Amino acid sequence: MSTVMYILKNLKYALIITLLSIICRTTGYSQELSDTSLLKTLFIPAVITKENSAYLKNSESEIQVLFSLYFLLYKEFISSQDVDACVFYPSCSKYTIEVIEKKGAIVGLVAGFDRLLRCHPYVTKKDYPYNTVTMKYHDPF
Amino acid sequence: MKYFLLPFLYFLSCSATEGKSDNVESIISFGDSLFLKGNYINALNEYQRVYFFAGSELKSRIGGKIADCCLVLNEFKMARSFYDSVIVYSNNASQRISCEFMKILCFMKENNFGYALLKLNNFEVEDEIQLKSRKNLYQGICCFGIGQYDSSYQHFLNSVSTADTLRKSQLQHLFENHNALKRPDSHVAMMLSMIIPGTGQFYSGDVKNGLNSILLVGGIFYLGTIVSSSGLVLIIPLFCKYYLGGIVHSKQIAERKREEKRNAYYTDLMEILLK
Repeated sequence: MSTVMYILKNLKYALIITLLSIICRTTGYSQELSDTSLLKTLFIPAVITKENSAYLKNSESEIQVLFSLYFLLYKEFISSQDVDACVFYPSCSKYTIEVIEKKGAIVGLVAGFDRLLRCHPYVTKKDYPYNTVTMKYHDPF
Repeated sequence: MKYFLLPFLYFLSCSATEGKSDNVESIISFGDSLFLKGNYINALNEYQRVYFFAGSELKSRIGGKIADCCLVLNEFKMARSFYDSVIVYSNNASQRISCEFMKILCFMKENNFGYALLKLNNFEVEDEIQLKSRKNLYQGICCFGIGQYDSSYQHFLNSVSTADTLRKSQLQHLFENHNALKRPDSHVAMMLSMIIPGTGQFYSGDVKNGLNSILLVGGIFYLGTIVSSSGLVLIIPLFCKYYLGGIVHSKQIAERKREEKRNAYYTDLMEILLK
C-alpha cells in the first residue's frame, strides 16, 4: 500500500520518464537521406595520385638510386608526353624499376628488356588476364 | 526505495512502448541506426533481410531505405530500380515525389545530365512552392552539367524565392562571367599543338608541360634533320609518337583545366543556393 502511495506521490516523475521514453522511441532513428550533401558533391574532380617518387625513397644502394632517378626523369619528362601506348599494367618502366628494387640491376634490366619485347599490340586475352576497367593486360613481376 | 523505483518505472515505460513493435521493426530501427552511423553496407544488409520477408506495404517503405543505401554506396542502377519500385507501389504521394527526385539524382551522379533533364521536364509537380523550387534547382544543375549556362542561370533564379534579393544578386554577380567556363577550348588547344607543339598546353595555362613538349619534339626534330640527316628514318617514328602525344595531351589538359574551373564555380554556386 505504501508503495502505491509513493508512486502516486511521485507521479509527475513517472509521467516525465514515460514521455521521454516515448519521444526517444519515436524520433530516435528516423533515417532519411538528404540530397543536399549529394548535390554539393556532384562535380568533384578525380584525384590523380603520383606515387613514382616512392621508388627513390625506398632505394637502398647507389645503383638503385641511379635507376630510380632515371625512372623518375623518364616518367616526368618523356613518358608524360607520350600517348598511353603500353598494353600492360604495371607499365614497362614501372615493371623494370620494381624488378630492379627486388632482384637487383642485372636481373631487373634483363626482365625489363624481356617485358619490352613482349609489349606490342598483338597481345591477346589468352596470353594474359585482361582488366576491362583499365583496358590493360595484367602482368606483374 | 526512490532510487529503486525510478529505474523500474523507466524500464516499465520502455517495455510498454516497445511491446507492440515486432522483430521486423527492431531490424528496421537497427538498420536506421547503422545508416545514421555511416555503416551503409551493414544497414543495407539489415534492410534486405526485412525486404525479403516483407509484404507489399512494407516493401515500399523499405525499398526507399535500400535505395538510399545504394545511392550512398554509388550503386546507382540498383538505387534507381528500388526508387522505381517505391514510386509504383507506395500510397504516399510525398514519398513518391521524393523518390522521383532521388531517382533523377542517380542519373545526375552518373553524369547523365541530359537524360536527367529530360526526366525533369516530363516530371509534373504540384503547385507547392518548395517542390517547384527543388525542380528548378535540379533543372539548373542539369543545364549546368551539359554546359547550357544561360538556361541554368534562369532555373537557379526561379529556384530562389522572389523575396530573397540577396541570393538573386549573388547569382547575378556569379553568372556575369560564365563565358570563362567555356575556356580553354580543347579543340583550339589541339589545333595550336598541331601547328606548333606545346602551344596548346601554353594556351591551357600549363607552362611546364608546354615547355616539355616543345623541347622534346623540337629536340627530336633537330637530331633528325640537322645533326644527322641519315638518321631521319630512325627519328621519324619517335617524332610522330611525341608530336601526336603532345596533341592528345593538350586536349586532355584543356579539358582538365575547364573541369577544375567548372568545379570551383559549382562550389560557389552551391554555397549560395544551399546555404
